[in-house]
Amino acid sequence: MNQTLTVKDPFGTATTGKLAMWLFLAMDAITFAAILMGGIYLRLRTDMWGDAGQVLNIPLTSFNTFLLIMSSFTMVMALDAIKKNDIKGLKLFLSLTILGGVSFLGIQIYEYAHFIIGNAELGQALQATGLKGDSFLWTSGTYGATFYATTSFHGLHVLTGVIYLSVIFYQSNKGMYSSANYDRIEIAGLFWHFVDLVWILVFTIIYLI
Amino acid sequence: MEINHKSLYIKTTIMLSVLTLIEIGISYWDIVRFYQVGLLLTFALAKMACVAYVFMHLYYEEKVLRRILFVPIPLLIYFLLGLAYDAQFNWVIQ
Amino acid sequence: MSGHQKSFWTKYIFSTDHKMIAKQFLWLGMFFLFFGGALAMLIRWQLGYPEQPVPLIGNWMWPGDGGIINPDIYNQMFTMHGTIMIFWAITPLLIGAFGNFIIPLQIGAGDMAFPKLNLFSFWTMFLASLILLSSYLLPTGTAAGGWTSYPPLSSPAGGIPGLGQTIWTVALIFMGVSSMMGAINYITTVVRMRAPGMDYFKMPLSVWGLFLTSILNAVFVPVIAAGLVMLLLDQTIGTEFFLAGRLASGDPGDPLLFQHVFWIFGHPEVYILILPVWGIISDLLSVFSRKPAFGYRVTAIAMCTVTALSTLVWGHHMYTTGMSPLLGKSFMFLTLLISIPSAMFFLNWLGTMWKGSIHFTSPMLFSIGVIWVFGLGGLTGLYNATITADIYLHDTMFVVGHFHYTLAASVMFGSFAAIYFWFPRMFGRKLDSRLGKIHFWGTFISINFVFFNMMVLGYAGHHRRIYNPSEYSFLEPLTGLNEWISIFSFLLGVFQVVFLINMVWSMFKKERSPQNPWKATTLEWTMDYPIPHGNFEETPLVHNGPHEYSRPDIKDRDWLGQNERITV
Repeated sequence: MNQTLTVKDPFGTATTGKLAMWLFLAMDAITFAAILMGGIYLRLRTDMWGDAGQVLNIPLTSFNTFLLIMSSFTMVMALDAIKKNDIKGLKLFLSLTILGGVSFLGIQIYEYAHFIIGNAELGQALQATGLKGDSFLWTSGTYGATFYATTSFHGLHVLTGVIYLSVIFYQSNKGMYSSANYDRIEIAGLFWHFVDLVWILVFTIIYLI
Repeated sequence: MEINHKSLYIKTTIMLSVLTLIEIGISYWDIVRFYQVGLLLTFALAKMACVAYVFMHLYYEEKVLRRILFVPIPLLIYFLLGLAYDAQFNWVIQ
Repeated sequence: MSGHQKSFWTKYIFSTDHKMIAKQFLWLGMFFLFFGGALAMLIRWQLGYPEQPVPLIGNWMWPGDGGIINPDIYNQMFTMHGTIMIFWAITPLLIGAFGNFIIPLQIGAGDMAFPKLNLFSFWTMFLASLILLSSYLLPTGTAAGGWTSYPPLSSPAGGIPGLGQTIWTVALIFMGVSSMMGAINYITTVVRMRAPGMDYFKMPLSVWGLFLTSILNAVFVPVIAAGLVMLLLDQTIGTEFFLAGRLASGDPGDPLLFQHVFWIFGHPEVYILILPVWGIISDLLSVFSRKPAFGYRVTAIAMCTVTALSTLVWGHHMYTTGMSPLLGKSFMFLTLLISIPSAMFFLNWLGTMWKGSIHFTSPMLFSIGVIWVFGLGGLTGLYNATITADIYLHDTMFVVGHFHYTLAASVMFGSFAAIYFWFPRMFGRKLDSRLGKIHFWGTFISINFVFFNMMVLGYAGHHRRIYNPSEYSFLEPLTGLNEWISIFSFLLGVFQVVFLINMVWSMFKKERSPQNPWKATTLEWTMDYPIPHGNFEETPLVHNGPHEYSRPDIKDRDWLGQNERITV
């Protein structure tokens, strides 16, 4: 009886780091889900909620969505480049991804500023939903609270992603990565795609429904 | 893996953009609220699946990992149903 | 790594060695266990001898009130007692200390999958403790909204004034982050780092329990984190998620939402705390009965079933919130279903002991204690799960008695069993067994007296959080019982001091424990003390299950280690 002992590992080739990142993302997704569920619960209990496009600026945010999708694309291209040992391509696509993230944040800040400063037009739109005031704040009923909680939590993720990718960019500048060693880029990529993935849900639930 | 994924990635990106446009269209479309919400959520889920499967390479991972990651979804739907039911329920006092 | 010279800082403070981190968690947990215990004594003083000055320390602690615990302080006490015991005592003791210590050793791994993450996990926890304790320095005192911290009690708009509640929320968020780091680490370690031959169904049940705990942690701590962030926004920047009625300025939120979010996490949380105990005592009963654990697979699968079911039943904490009958009944049904798998492993424990050659050592006594207290706690849970009974019993001392039986008594006994059992591995010496027996019998008798009679109080209508029971005429006949409960709870406290003395004294005594004093089969007993950094000199090969006791085909001894092969 000389059978060799092995460990059955159903997770195959995924590295431990990748596994941990997936776990973290699952937990993060649950956090988002909990906040969104809270929003849905509150929405079912109130009439003071804006319809699609009534208060929130859909064209601007659609452009933001498009930005995130494009940055997801460039991220995956960066991974593709390093798999072929193309450091130049990696750096190009990584910087494009970071640019996408930064622009997303810029537009979000503009959106927030617009809401916080407020104007008569916005005030009229808010009037139609039953909310008072000329500016749309986190104190503007549960609608405002949910909007700001969800989008700012997502914004923090984008910010984290931008910092994370900048570190990766710095490291690839120093030549840490090659076609034999790109696990960290893949893991960073997972995080970045997750930010995109969550945005799809946030965009649909907060802006479109 | 020496497969060129580039065309797949480009296709996915285009598809995501198109699906987003359709979603925006639906949100302005004046139909029964129930169908509107249902359609929007379906499209959102389709987009999320695209991102997870193609960009996050979930398609190439082992089956078990894929399945385990889907476990929370029915759980979250269960929570949502419980919450939504309770949110809308009121005792009628006569 | 083992030959590597280390300074005091890297060896004892910022160590990445899972065994050192386990000890750090152990001391943190012990500190808060005694802190929370002291709070419990003071609560009992107020309930047993209402508005009489606290002896010895009263005049020193509250000179302004003449040594009497005033209502505000009382509210802060039961709030902090609950919070500290659940999040700062049990969690670090069982999950932090024993999770860290046992998992890598029992599955044959050199360390955790992410040693640095482990380090951060402890120090985040430590930071959370400091934040929590800092709230005591506030002039308005610490949190006082109950450990559940329901809004509007926990909102400045309508509840407890002052920063205490906000600091409580922040501390709990940090604690949640620490738990999440731990969960990622434990799960990847169990999935990835098992030694060759260590299949899932060859893992000791302790590892099963801790693994399932980590899964629950991973799924549910994010939920409460989200809820707490919303609560924090309510408390600080004036959002209105959880404020309704007069307290809301415009469009009202809903306080019930917080209860939903809290209990979606909160119910699994009690299983997060109890699952490691189930696992640990399943193993210990087998070791000290010198018999294989009865129905090993059934126990493991039943534990998984409880884990799954526990996620679906949060609403049974909210029967009195005006929940719809349909939801209430569904939750009742699902909750009662949990008793089936629980009964399965409960019977398995008895089956393990049946006709075994039982050695009544201190860890065994505590394990048997768990069977008793958990049995009572589980059975009284059925009353709380049934809507009709719960509407009467809700928020009475009955509930307090019930959850102290399941959480305080079972989990404390489980932790004690674990400490007595693994102490020789942690510190190289055995705890004194005579003191251990005194500790056990003292604790067992007083704890049962305290919590059983709390249920009697609750059945008679004694409300859970009242400040002064003597103010209510219908509670007058219970004055004597209340007093006796207090006396026995002070006794309970005294016997814990015996344990502390035992622990400190045994740590420094000369007499070393043999390498495997309990003749256990699992991998953590295969190396000399002190266990080196990296644990195993060479990766162990696992040939047997975890409970190979009294095998008839081995003549000279009654156990077979997991890494040994029978040479026939």
